Amino acid sequence: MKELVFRALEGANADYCEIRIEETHQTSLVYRGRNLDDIAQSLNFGGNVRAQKDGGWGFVSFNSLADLEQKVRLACEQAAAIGAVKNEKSHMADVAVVVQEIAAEVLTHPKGITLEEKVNIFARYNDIILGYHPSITSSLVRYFDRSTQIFFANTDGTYISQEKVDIGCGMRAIATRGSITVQEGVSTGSSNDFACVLGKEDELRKACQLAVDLLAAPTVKGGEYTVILDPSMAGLFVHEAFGHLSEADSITENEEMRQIMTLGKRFGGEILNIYDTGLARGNRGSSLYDDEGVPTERTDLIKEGVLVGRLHSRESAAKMGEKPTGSARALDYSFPPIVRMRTTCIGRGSSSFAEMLQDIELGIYAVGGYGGETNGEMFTFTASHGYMIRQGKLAELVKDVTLTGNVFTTLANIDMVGDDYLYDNNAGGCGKGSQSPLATSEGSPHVRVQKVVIGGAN
Amino acid sequence: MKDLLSRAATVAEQAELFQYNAERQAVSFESSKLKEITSTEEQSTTLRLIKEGRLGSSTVTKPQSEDTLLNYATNTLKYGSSVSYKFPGATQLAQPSVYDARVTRVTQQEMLDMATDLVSALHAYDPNIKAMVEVAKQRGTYALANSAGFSAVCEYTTWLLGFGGELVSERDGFLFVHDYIAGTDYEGQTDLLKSRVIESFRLARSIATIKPGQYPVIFAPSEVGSVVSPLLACLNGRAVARGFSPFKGRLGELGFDPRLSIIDDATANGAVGSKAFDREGTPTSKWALIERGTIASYLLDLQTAAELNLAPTGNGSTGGPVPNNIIIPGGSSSYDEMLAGIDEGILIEGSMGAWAGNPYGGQVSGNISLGYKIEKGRLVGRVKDCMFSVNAFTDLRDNISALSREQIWRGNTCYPYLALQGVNISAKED
Repeated sequence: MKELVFRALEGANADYCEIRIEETHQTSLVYRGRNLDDIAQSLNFGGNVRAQKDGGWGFVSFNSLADLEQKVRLACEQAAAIGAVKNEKSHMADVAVVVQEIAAEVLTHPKGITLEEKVNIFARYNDIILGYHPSITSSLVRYFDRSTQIFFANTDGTYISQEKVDIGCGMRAIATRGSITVQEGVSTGSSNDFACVLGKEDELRKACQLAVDLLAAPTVKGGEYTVILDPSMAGLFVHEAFGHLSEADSITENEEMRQIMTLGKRFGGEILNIYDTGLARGNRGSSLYDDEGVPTERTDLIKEGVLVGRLHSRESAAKMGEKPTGSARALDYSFPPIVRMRTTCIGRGSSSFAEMLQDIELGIYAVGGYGGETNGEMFTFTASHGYMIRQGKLAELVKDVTLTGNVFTTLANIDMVGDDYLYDNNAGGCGKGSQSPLATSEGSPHVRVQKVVIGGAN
Repeated sequence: MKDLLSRAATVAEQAELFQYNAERQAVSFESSKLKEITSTEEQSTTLRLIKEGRLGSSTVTKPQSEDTLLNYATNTLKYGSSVSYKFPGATQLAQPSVYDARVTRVTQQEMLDMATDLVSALHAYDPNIKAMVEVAKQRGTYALANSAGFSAVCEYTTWLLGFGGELVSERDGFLFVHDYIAGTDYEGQTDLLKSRVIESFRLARSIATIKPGQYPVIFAPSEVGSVVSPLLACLNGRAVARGFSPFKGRLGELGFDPRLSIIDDATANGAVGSKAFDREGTPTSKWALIERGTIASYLLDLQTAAELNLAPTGNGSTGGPVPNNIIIPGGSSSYDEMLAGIDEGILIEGSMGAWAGNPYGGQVSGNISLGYKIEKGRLVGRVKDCMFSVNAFTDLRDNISALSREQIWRGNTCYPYLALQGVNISAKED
C-alpha cells in the first residue's frame, strides 16, 4: 500500500496532496421487541484524494483503487480550478513528518468474539427488558462494532497505517399505557474494549423501572429554572453548547466570530474548566493520529473561566497562526476531514451533589442526555428524564425535559461544578457537516446552571 | 448479477441482490469564499438470503469481493430475523420520471457560475453576510434482482442547490438562514432560492420580544416536518409491529383534524423520493397514511406487512420502512389570510433540537432558530431565545386553525403552512 500511494502522489501537481484509504469490517445487530430485526456483516472499502492549490481544495472519493494516479490528477485539477479564482496562499500548518505503522491497542477485540456470542449477549439483555414488567411492551437493542484499517499518506512524506476500533450499544425499554409511550435505556461504547458492553444487567433493570415510572410522570412545566445537569447532560451541554464554538473552521474566515472567540476572553466563573482530548484511551473518538496525520493531544479550551484554546485542522491553525491540535476528522473515506471534537470534558470541581441541591427552592435535575443541537449562539438539548427539585430536595419524576438557552449566558450562569466524574461513551455521535454519526465522547461531573429555559406547557 | 444470484441459491432458499453505483460532483462556497470541488464515485452490493425462515444480509463496497459478500451473508443466516415472506416476483412497473439528461450535461464551470451568482445576490443585499452555497449533481443507477424472478434497473439524476448565510453581530447575535432545492430535474433558475433566502434575512433584521405564554403559531413549510415527525414515526410499520406505536390497532380511527391528510407519493415526477419499486422489489404507488384525519395506513415493507397481515406498501429500504415523498395537501386559506388573522403570534421557519424528543409520546420541543413575531397580521421582527412545545397527537387533533393553499416542495416533502392555536412558548422571563 505504501508504495502504491506514494507512487500515485508523485503525480500531484498541487501545494499539498494526501491519500486516505480505509477498509472497515462491521458487525451490527438490532432487536426490536422479540425479533432480531437486523443482523449484518459488511465490508466498507474506499479511499480519497484531497489536494490544495492556491488556497482551493479538490476532493475525489472512490471505492476502487484502479487508476489512482488519475484520481490524484483529478483532485489536483479541481483544486487548481478553485485556486485560479481564489489566488490565495495555500495554508497548511507545519507538522512533523511521521512514518509509522501502528497496531491497535485493544483490550478485548470484537473480532475475537464470535457472532453467536454477540447475539447471545444481546438476546439476554433483550430478555431482561421484555421480561421486566407488563407495561414494557417492546425493546430496541442495537449493537455495532467496526474495525477500520486506515492508510494515510501525503506529499510531506507522512505515511501512517493505523487500526481504529469503534464499539457501541444502545438498549431501550419501551413502555406503553394507553396512548402514552415512553422509553428509557442504557448506552455505552468504547474504542478499545468489547467488554464495555458486558455486565450491564443492573443498569438495564434500573432503566426498565424508570420507563415504567415515567408512564405516570407528568410532563415538565415550561419556564425558567435553576437546573442541575447530571454528568451525561453536562457532557451533552459542553459538546453542543461550547465544543462546536471551539472548532476553528467556523472562525477562520469570520471576523465577527474571531472577535467573539478572542483568546483571553472570560466565558465563565473561575470554577469552569473545559478541554477536549484525543488521548483518553478507550473513549470513543480517541486515536493516536487524526485524519491529517497529526498527533492528537489534550487541548485546553477554557481555563478558570477564560478562553485559552480551540480545536484546529492544519489549515485552520495556519490561517490563525496557531498550533494544529490533531482535531481534523472524517466520518469515513467519502468525506474530507473537518475540525471535530474527540472527548470533550468539563474539569472536575469541588461541590457535592448535596451542596448543589441545598439552596434551590424550585429547580430541575436533568438526567441522561437524549440529544441536542446548536447554531453557535443558541443551544437546545433534551434529557431522557428529570426530577423536580423542591426546597433543596429531589422531588417528583418528570418527562419531556428540553433545555434551551444562549451559549454565552449559560456558560456564565454555571455556578457550581461537582466533585464527581463520569465519561459518557454513548453509542450515538456528532452530526456536524452531514458527517454523522462520528464517534465522540464526553466527560463531566454534575454541573449547576442558573436561569435555564425549559420547554413545555407554561 | 445472475452469477452471484446463482451461487447464492446454492446456500439459501431465496436470494436478493441489490447493486448501486453513483457519481456526484459538487461545488461549494463557505464564508463567501469558493472552497472546494468534490467528485465522489460510490458503488455497493448488498446480498440478502433467506433460509429456513431466517434472513441474513451483507453489504460490500470493495470491487471483486463476491466471496466476502457471500460468506458474510451466510454467516448471519443462522441468527437472522425470522421471516415468513417471500421476495416478490416479476411484475409490471410504472416508472416515474427521475432522470434528466440535462443534469449530466451541466459543466463544472456552469456550477461555479451558479454558485457565484447566488453569493453575489446575497452580497448585493448585505455584504456582511457570510454566504454558503452548494451546487451538486448526481447520476446513479440501482439494480435489484431476486431468485423469484424480479429484475429491474433504475437510472436517476439528482440536482441540489443549497444556499444560505450567517450574520454575526455583537448586538443581534447569530443569524443563520439556509434553504435548498432538490429534485431529479435540472433547475438552473436560482431566482426562487435567492428570493426566499434574502426575504428571510430581511424579515430577521429587527429583533422582537416575546413573553412566555400560549400563542397562535404558523409553522412554515420548512418547519412543518418537525410537527408531523411523531406521526410518521408512529405510522412506521416497524413501530406498529413491535408495539412502540400508539397507532397500533387504530386503522380507520379518526385521530386528527379532518382537514389533515398525509400522503406518501412515490409517483411524483421529478421528486427525489420517487421510484417505480422499493428496495425490496415491491411496486410503489400514491396512497394516504392519514386521510382527512383518519389513520388510513402504515408505512410497510415485506417484513412488517407480513407481521401485521397487511399488503406491503412499497416503502421497503435497507433499514425497515421509510417514506418515499410525503405530501400534506393544502387547505382553504391563503398564507396571507392566515397571517392577517393573527393579532399576536409567531411564524416559525426553523428550529433546533425538535428531533431530539420521544416521537412515540408525540411531544415536540425545539428552540426557535428562525422565527418572527406576528403583530396585527404583520411580521415585525425576529424572535430569539425561546422555545416552542407542541404535542403532535393532541395539537394536530384539536388545535389546527388553518392549512394554507400554498405548498412548497423541499427534497422529498411537500408541505403547506400550518397554523396551530395555543402553542406553548417558553422564554426568558426578564
